[in-house]
Amino acid sequence: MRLVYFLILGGAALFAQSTVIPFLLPYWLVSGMDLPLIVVVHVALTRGKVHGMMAGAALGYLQDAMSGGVIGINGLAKIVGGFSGGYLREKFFVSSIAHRAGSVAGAVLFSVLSKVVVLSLFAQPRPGLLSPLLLWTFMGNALLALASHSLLVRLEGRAGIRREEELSLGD
Amino acid sequence: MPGPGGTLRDFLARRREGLLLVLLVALSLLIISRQVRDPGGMTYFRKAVIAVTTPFQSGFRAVTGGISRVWNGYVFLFGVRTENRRLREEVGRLRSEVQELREELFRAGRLEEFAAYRSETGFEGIAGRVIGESPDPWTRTVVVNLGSSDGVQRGMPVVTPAGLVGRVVEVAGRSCVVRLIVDRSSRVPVLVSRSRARAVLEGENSGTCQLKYLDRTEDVAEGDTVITSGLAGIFPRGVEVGTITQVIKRNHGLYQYAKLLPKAPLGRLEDVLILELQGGQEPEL
Repeated sequence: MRLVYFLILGGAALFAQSTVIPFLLPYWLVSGMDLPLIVVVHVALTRGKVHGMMAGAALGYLQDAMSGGVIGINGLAKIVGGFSGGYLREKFFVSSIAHRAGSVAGAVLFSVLSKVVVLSLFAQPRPGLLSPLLLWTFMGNALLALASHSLLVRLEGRAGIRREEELSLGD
Repeated sequence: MPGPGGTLRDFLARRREGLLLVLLVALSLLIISRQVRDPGGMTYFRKAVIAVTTPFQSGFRAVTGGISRVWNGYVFLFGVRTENRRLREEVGRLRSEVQELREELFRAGRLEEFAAYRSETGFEGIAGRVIGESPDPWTRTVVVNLGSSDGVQRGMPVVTPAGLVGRVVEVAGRSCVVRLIVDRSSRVPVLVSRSRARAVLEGENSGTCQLKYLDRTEDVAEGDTVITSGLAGIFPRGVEVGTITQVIKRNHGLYQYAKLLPKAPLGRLEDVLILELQGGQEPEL
């Protein structure tokens, strides 16, 4: 059931990012928003490094294929995001809102930075390190990921998707 | 005491997550390096993903179109309480029909514009509808509901009567991905219409583009119209691209730069015209 739930969550993020969000919101707001990354961070924080990396690989590769860009760039960035989310979860134990915010922001930051590094490494066009786009990508996604993660944790607890030990870890 | 096999097993068990990270990252780097060398690679994977996602995107567009028609044509009428139910229903139905007809008329008007554009310019092509956008926020692409079954090929230029939109970068059976000219990796050889100065247009991932490799001795001014030069054999010559909004000339360097605002409404594209390839050959992208 949990696998089906995470598959639906990932699919919904990709669908929303490619269809619903551009339809509803102006481009300047959408330009940095990365819903698949938010799902990857959520999976990593609730299920750990391995699941985070697997979710990152799947969603990142699909995102690359759908966007017509170089396949693997988002894949790699989200693998790093998934790993760092899981790693920070273990380190900080995600026991308070501050620790949780730090873990979410760290995972998003590592993912965004790894994407910039890979783009530079392969001489692909990329935003500048201090560009508004990059800052917006980091800050916007970190805030959205924190809000979404907190909301999903509650919903999953109520729906019985998460186990007791995970609930005590996550809350 | 554990043997050498046990020690290796312990090591692998302890480092399982780190090893998986290294493996996945190495695999991704390998795939990316192959892609960068051969941009046409991984075509089957792309085609499969696009083919699977297209029905969802088309469905969403159809549903939102329907909801918007119903909202505009029927729900709006619920505020009119003085009229009786039969009349309200009748008016609602008629309004809904009018709204549908308006939408059809609007679309027919656009297609008529496309037909006029085709006969004016002599460009051959087919009209398609935008059904989705890139799920990657750093990439400016759109999905159009025409694919290989409609004769679409990789590299085909995409326009609207207002101006250049981009080019097809991936084709599935019933849809294709179009890279917009504002995408950071888009390059279009262009001419400044008034002075015939040559330049290369690069996207900035925002609503604007930048003109690069523009000789600093060339006469370029704000308000100048920029058209495609037809060089490189991808875009036909003479398609309007946009208007120069700012000229940047530094004290040093061989080139000057300019900002360009595209003429095509790239932020709210609905219908586009996919043009035939120049000479019928797929260009090297």
